[in-house]
Parts: sequence; structure tokens; C-alpha cells
Amino acid sequence: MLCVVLFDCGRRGDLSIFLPFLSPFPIRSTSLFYTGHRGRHCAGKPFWTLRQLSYMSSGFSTPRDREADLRLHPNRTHDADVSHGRASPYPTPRWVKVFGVLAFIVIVIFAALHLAGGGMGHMAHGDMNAHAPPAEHDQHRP
Amino acid sequence: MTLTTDFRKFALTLHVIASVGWVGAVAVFLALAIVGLVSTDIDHMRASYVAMDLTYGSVVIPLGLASLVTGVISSLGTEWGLFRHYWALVKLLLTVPAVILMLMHTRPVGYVAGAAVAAAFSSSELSGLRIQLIVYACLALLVLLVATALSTYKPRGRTPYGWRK
Repeated sequence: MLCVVLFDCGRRGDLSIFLPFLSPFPIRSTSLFYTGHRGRHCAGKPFWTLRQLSYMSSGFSTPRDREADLRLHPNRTHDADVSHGRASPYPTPRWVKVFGVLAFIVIVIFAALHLAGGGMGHMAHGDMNAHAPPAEHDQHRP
Repeated sequence: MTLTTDFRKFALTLHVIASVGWVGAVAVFLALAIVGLVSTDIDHMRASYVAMDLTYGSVVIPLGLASLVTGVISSLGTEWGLFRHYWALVKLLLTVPAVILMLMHTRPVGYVAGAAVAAAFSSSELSGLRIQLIVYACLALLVLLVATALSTYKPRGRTPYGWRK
């Protein structure tokens, strides 16, 4: 009988090695394996793959398991179970969030400088008008 | 829209040339602005601001516009796209405001240069505006360096639009 043996390599939710061989043990019909690649659930069916898989053991996974899985495979979230409804199907990378925060801070500082009168706004009506137009200065070139 | 390999490489080459030239021109602008502010020699100050004005109008602005245009063409003509990956989108969001601010500051730069060649120009004149030019040049250089780093590292992450495509 063809069977699948899963070796847990220590990382939670990750099963790294799959070996098909003849096994004397029957597969439990209630077993539920989540491939993490195609969004398919293989209930009680022996399968064979060389790719690293994620799993939800027997459908008893908790939201924390699910989030841990997403952290381990962030690039596969588009294949993830969108019906779960908790994790965003389009996660924003952390570096984008950091960029956003920094950009917001810079914009606030920039706006504050302008509102405080230190920006170009005062120059357009104040300093610039206090001098003759630049074109006229050419006549006084040393 | 996917460009042919030759045209894509040509557009990318133009983009790299324009972008690197833009960074160099802004660095020159910054150096001239610093010299114009800290120099005690009035002739040095005048020369710096006149050179700044010339550099700004004839090098910085054309290269900035060229960098934006060639970047948009390159991204639209490749798999990267303009809105598919966060790094390309962030670059666009950095470059477009930088170009707009660059165009908005044409008048102040010209004004400082015009004032600098006046006979009555002194080292304390327009000090606030001259400091601002340095600050803005530093910010522009920082933005361009970040954009360059994004192009090099291309950090991962697709936008929702990119996932749907």
C-alpha cells in the first residue's frame, strides 16, 4: 500500500520531507492535509510531492497556526485559504510600512516648516519683493 | 505592454544614465549651495550661486525629467510594471513629488542667483533662503539615493494590483 510519511523537521507547521513507501499502517480517513500551494485539501488521500508543504492537522488548526504559516510562507499567501477571512490576501511588506511611516514624518515636518513661515511661501511675497527682480541685477554685475 | 529586448535595454540604459546623472547634478548643486553659504569671499559666493542657477536649469531639471520618463517607459515595458511591485511603486511615489518640487523651486534658485550678482549683495543677505536650498538639496539627494537603493535591491512585495495581474 502506498503511503506518505511526514517528518516534522522542528519548525511548527512545516513538514519538509515526504517519502512514499510501503507502509503497514492505514491512512486515517479523517486526516486532512493542506498543501499550501494550490489551496487544495487532500482528505485521506496519499499524495507525493517534492515540494515543501504546509499543513493544517486534521482541520484543528487555530488562527495562530494559520498566522504562523503565513509568516513562514509570505510569498504563498495568494494561494492561501482566502475563505478564512482573518489574514489579508494581499499582505503589505514590513519595509513598505516603514517607508510609509518615514514619508509621513517627512511630510509633517515639511508642512510644519512651511506653516511656521520658514518655507518658500514667505519668500514668494516677502524676501523676493524686497529686492529688485533678478534680471535687473545683471546691469550691476561687477 | 512588453518591449522588445533591445528597446528595453536601451530604455534601461537611458534611465540609468539619467538617474545617475541626476544624482550627480544634485550633489553638485548641494556643494555649490554649501560653498555659497559658508564662503567668506564674496566672489566665491556669487560664482557659486550663478553656477547653481546654470546647473539647475540646464542639468538638474532635464535629467530629472528624463529619469522619470525613461523610468516609466522601462517599468511599463517589463514584467515589473509600474504598480505591480511595491519597490517600483515607492520609487514612483518618490520621484514624482521630487520632480514636482524641483520644478517649483526654479524661481527661488534663479532669484538667489540674481540677487548674488547684485552690487549690494552681502554674505548675510537671504540667509534663510540659502539655508533652505541646502536643506532641500540634502532631501533631494536622500530621496534619489533611496530610489537608487530600491532599484538595486528590489525588495520583495507585490501590491494588491500586482497580485491580481
